[in-house]
Amino acid sequence: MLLLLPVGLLLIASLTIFILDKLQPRFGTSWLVAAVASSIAWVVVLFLRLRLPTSLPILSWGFPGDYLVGRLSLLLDYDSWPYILALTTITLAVILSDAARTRYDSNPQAWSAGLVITGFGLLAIQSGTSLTLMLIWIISDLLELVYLLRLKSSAQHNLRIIISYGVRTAAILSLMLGTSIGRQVSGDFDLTGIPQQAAFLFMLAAGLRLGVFPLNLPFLKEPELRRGVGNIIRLAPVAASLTLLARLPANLISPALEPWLPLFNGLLALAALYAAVRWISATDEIEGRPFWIVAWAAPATASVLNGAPQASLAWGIALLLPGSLLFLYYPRIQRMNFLQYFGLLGLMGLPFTPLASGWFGLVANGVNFWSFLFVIAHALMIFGFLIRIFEPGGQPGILESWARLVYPLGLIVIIQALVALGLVGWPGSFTPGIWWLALISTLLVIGAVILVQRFGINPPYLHFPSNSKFVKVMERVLPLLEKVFRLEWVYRLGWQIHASLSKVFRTISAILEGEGGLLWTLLLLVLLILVITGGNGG
Amino acid sequence: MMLLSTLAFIVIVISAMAILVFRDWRINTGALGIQYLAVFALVALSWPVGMSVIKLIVGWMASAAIALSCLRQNKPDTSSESSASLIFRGLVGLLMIILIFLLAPDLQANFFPRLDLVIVQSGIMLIGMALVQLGTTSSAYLTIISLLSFLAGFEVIHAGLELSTLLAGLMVIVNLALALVGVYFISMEGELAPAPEEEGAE
Amino acid sequence: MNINTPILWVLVPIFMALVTGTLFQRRTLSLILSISTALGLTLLAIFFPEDLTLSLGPFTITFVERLAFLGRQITIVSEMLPLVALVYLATTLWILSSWVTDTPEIFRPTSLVVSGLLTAALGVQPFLYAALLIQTAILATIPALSHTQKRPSPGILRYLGLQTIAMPFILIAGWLLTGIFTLPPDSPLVSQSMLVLGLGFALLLGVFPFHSWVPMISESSHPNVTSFLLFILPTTILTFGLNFFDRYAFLRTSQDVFQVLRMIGGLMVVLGGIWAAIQDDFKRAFGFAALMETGFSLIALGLAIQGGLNWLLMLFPARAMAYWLWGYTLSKFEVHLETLNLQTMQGFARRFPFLSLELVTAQFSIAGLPLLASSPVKTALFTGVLDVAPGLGIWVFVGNLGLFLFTFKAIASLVKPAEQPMPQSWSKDEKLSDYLPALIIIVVIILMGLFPQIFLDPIRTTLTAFTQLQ
Repeated sequence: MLLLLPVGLLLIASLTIFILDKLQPRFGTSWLVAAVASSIAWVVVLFLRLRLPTSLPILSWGFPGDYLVGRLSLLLDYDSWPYILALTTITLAVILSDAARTRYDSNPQAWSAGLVITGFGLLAIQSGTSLTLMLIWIISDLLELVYLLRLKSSAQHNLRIIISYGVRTAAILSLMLGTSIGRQVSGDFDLTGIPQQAAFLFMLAAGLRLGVFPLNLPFLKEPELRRGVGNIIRLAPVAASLTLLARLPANLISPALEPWLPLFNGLLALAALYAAVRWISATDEIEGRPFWIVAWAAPATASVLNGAPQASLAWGIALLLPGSLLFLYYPRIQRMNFLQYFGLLGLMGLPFTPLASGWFGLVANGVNFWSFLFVIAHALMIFGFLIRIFEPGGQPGILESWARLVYPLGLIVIIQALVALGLVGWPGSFTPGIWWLALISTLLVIGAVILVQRFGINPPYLHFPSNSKFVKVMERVLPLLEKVFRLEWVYRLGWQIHASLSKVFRTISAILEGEGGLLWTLLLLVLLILVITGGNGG
Repeated sequence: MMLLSTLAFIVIVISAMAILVFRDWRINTGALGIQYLAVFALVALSWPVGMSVIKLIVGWMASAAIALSCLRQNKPDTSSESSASLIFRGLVGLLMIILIFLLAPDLQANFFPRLDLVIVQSGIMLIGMALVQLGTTSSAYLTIISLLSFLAGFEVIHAGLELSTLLAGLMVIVNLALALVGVYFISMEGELAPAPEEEGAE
Repeated sequence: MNINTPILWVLVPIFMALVTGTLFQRRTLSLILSISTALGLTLLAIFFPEDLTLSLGPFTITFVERLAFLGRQITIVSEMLPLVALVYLATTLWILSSWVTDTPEIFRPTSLVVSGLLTAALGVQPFLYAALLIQTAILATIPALSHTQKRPSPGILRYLGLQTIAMPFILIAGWLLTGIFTLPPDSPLVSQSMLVLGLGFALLLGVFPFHSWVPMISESSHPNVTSFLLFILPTTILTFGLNFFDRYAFLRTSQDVFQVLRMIGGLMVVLGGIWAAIQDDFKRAFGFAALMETGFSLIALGLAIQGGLNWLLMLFPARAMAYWLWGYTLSKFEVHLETLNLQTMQGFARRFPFLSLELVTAQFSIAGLPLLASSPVKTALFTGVLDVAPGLGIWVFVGNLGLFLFTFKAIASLVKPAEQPMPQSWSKDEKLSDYLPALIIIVVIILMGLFPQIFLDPIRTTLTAFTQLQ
């Protein structure tokens, strides 16, 4: 039952804030409720590290004869604990740092929504069976769909919301098919024992929801989802998918799929590269957030494909925590800039840092060309992070007095979690890793900084001038690349196939339902009988 | 008996062709009535006359119901139909007749060895012509007439296979219900038809 | 005092249908009578005493499971009562919804007659005569289907034609089958008999290419009536079909028969899915979804050896809820619009959010989205068919995606904001009484999806009525 305590706390707090906001709106009280609940939840999650692994069966269909098989259960183990810690940390950080954004988008309604999403996110991360995961995904997708549709938006934006929802549902269906195949092979199973025959579909499900495999970015502009709770909305679903990746078996690639492995790795590497370039060229970190997710999710997925699913944990944590450290750092306060360097440390992949164990995932099948592309992408991501770090900030005077204490505390909580995960997150998290890969990446970053300075660009603004040749070239190339990588051409192609099929089947319908339809039906019947009896008679 | 069954078969062919070729409700319902006479004659070869006459009565009731509904609704005269469509339907009917003559002996040998060939031919004739009629019409009352013919053809064959009071009773219900549906359809269509001008109206 | 169960579940509803039909102008009274009849029969079927005896004070009522009728019998055994309960529960729900939608008045007596006749079809001995009772029930549905139209639509004529053609096939097949017990299994007459029987059921169930009446009827008739028809007919026909498997050992032991059933079912799912995916009209899409469901039922039948008959029966309650929901919501939308297609319903969700959500939920439920009623059984079906024929299983899964695709198109259309200078905001033009009944059904659908062992298991006891099929 301890597994449900953080979830329960967050959901109760959310309901309390919602009711308070309706009856007697009070910013301070609502914030206090949210802060207390998320703090307690965070502490409980820390405590749960001592109780791993632990599970909680919820429901079993228990049909005699196994006509229907299904179980709902929660499971907290070394694959899921890092992510629930990350998610509760992000939530706590959001609440605390929202003290500094009272003039922007922080409000009790947003906190209430954020706590609910976190609660569902925790349930999704701790899902013990595919059925549990599917159910939670469905509920959270529906909530997000309703939430996004209620925002004032254009028809185009609406379409992107539906496409995004469609892609997520496709992921659920992929999971459903994988579950059926898995049950056909080895009966009822939980997420710790995913059969190899079903594993690829499970990976496809996770990849679709991460937007990385296949690459799909239907929803890039987020006018209303900026800082604060917007961060939770974007990252909570990601955490659940990352957990699924970590649970996949090491022998995911069957002999039938092995010839395709270089292609998969290539696609992921290109996705990572593209996302890294877009991360760097984004005007701010929020605009770059979708690419941030893809760029870190790609090596996580590659780790799974290469037979090292546990290495995906490191990449996943890099996605969530240092990213949140940056995304929640608004308004920027000059004196607090140094905190970002801790995030940078969490991304470097140097020995005994949180990302060190992630390198194993890229070279588990041997070092190859794609491994180096991933390293380049990694370097670009670090470079982009540096660009953001170097931007100057304002003075603490812009904050209220209580926020000057609470705001940095929110960011420090993330750093604490990062350190804790680096030390005791999962077996093998504290490791030297593959030092020379980290070194290559670091050298590339240093080289990039030097190169940029050669062009006369110095901190704090490591941007090319807008009238430079490089920027002009990128402005031409990037939209073209976006059209390719955003997979809109896939949707258009699919729509054309749909239109062609429509014409054919509408014609058939018109014939069969038209005035002579019965005769056509009888003709088809006679043909069918002739085929059958002809086949039997020889 | 042989003469009677042959005569009944000829009547069935003629009446089925009449229903197929012509679209005048008077001809159609009249032919249907005559058809049921032939059906009665064929069924009486297998069943007691007392049971067989039920087919005749029910058939005539159905024909009468449809005819009276058409009369009441003043269904328009279809004499303006082109002769090409009449000829076409006639040719299709002839084709169906030839086909049935070719198929009937095999069907009788394989499926209904106990039945007389004429009975099988008659039943299949009714069924086949009714299917062609169904496929070439979109009119409600012709559809009902086709279905009644279809069921009559089936009853001719089934009567030779077994005798069951319940089956006979249920078939009565089905036939009458079908006729009622036909009446319902005709009155629906009739509500839309323009009222005929009174002759000599002031 | 003795009461025959067929009198209760066959003659009483038909009698009450006549009464309510006569009283159609007194709407409230006819409604109360219809609902109380259907609900009463449902409750009686659910709480029927196992020992066939009911004591009410000084009176003792003994139930007799048989009724002699024109030399034959109608038998409603207690093992069949779970299905009978479902039939009358469905009738109750649909009659209730006819109260709050614009359903033709004639639907209420029609539904009682149809339920009574189809219940009789389930219990008539010899079971072959059920074909005639089914045909009579089909004829009884005609007024309700055509009531909203100015002239009989081609769909209704097609429906009537094809269903009427089916009946003789079943009867002839039944006669053929009685003579083949002594024949060797490879005798051509055996396969010919099975072909004739198969054609009969194909016509009744609307198997391709005899399916054209389904979308035509869906498009032209009232959604509430169509949804009732598309639920109750296939449910009873499929259960009636089980009699053949129960009686003829060569049918239930023939691998070829099961393979053919699976393939035909798969074909229906694929074709139905493609047709559903390309639709613009909501009512036609519902028709094609119903064809897909028939396909799934055939697949379940084809997996009989793997326990598919249980899945066949468990699909029925889930299907009832989803069909009701679909028919109800479309009925509500039809009040505002003449045609229900993707173009005319653009932006509807922004004025009728709850009804739109309910419509989408109905579609997802039929498609088998997890959390909803059909999902546990559909997942089991996929597992079963993948086990026996992996290629077919993949095709069936892909075919099923067609309904998902249509649903996404529907969502995109329903939420599309009107093209104005300012973005269209959300409002709620629907009343609580409009969407509350459907919300309750959605809760039931979700509960069915979460607790199938409570909601779907009871109907499996119907299989005990078929001694050879347990």
